[in-house]
Amino acid sequence: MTVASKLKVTQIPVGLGELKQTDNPKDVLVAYGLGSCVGVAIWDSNARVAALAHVILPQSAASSRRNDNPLKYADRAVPAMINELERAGGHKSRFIVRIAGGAQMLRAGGASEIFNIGSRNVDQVRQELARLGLRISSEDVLGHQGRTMSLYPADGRVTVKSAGTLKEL
Amino acid sequence: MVPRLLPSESISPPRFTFASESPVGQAMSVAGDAVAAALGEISGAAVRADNLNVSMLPLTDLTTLGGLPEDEVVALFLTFNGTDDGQIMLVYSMEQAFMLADQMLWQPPGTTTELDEMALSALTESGNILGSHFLTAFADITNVELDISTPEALVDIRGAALSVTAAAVAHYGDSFLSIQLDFVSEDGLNLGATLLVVPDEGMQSTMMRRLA
Repeated sequence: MTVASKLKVTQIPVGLGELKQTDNPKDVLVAYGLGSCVGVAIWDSNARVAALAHVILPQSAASSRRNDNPLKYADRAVPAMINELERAGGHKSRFIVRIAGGAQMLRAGGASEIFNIGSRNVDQVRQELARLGLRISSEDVLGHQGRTMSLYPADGRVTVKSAGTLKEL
Repeated sequence: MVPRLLPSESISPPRFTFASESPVGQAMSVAGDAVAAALGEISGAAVRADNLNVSMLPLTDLTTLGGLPEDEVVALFLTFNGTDDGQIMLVYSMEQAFMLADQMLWQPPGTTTELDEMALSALTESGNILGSHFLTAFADITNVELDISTPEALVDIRGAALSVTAAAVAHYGDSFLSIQLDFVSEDGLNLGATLLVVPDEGMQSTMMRRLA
């Protein structure tokens, strides 16, 4: 039995374009309904601090607006969550990184970049993590189905539910 | 430590509901009536639009619009172009989708219990009719020219289905225009639907500016 499963946990939803962080072992950070969006989960095994980002778009440079929420972009959310985790006592050398999502929800494709946004989100998240010297421990990405991603700060466990099936990442 | 929303929980985009007598509310009402009339024609029963709610909501609300993010839904996705470009997404709960499929196929209520090819085809056709009637009425009111694509149906959890629209909204801002309305038939069936109309330039689109 894992540490988290012994505790009565409080689900903390991480909505579109949000980034949440906690070190409370009774919390579980949850990104519900990831379609083309990508969930980025980072946990520090020593500080036992966890963060989950719900990324919608790959790059802030492509935005037509400058004063909108920066955390919806992969290239802004990933560095921000690393900064915040380090501020909370975490260290990059101990970070365990897992990602999920990036599905292509519409199969028609071709008509618009919107149809291909999932794979571009995944690519950008991977690039940002690599640029910052972080390796992805495990991932469940692409495909055509939605996912719900949960991160348990108590033990760093990440689960992904998709098409009625729950698996540990 | 209390879970932290970063960088600040104080950042919140606008959230408001358009009054029914406002230009936007009236335009949506006319467009909703056009959809109800079309739905009545194809289902063979009088249908009226009811409980119209037109709101500007923060992007974070999108995946819970009309229900829970993990609820299974049928979403019909259409694009339009012309004076404005953008998308329409119609979202039905599974129960609503079964009901609508029965109406579309002239079957007794309760006949459809799973989404086979025939039911999905009927729902896609409903999206075609509903989307085009809505947009035609809205284009007439705002005096713009719009062409609409054929719909694509997807069956998935609500949050994932709506991520398609979320990506389009997020590109232009952090708020979206939500139109929720019920289509009530004379025999009491309620074909409630969530309709999202997302012009590529959001509230700055030609049609929204003409209603301002």
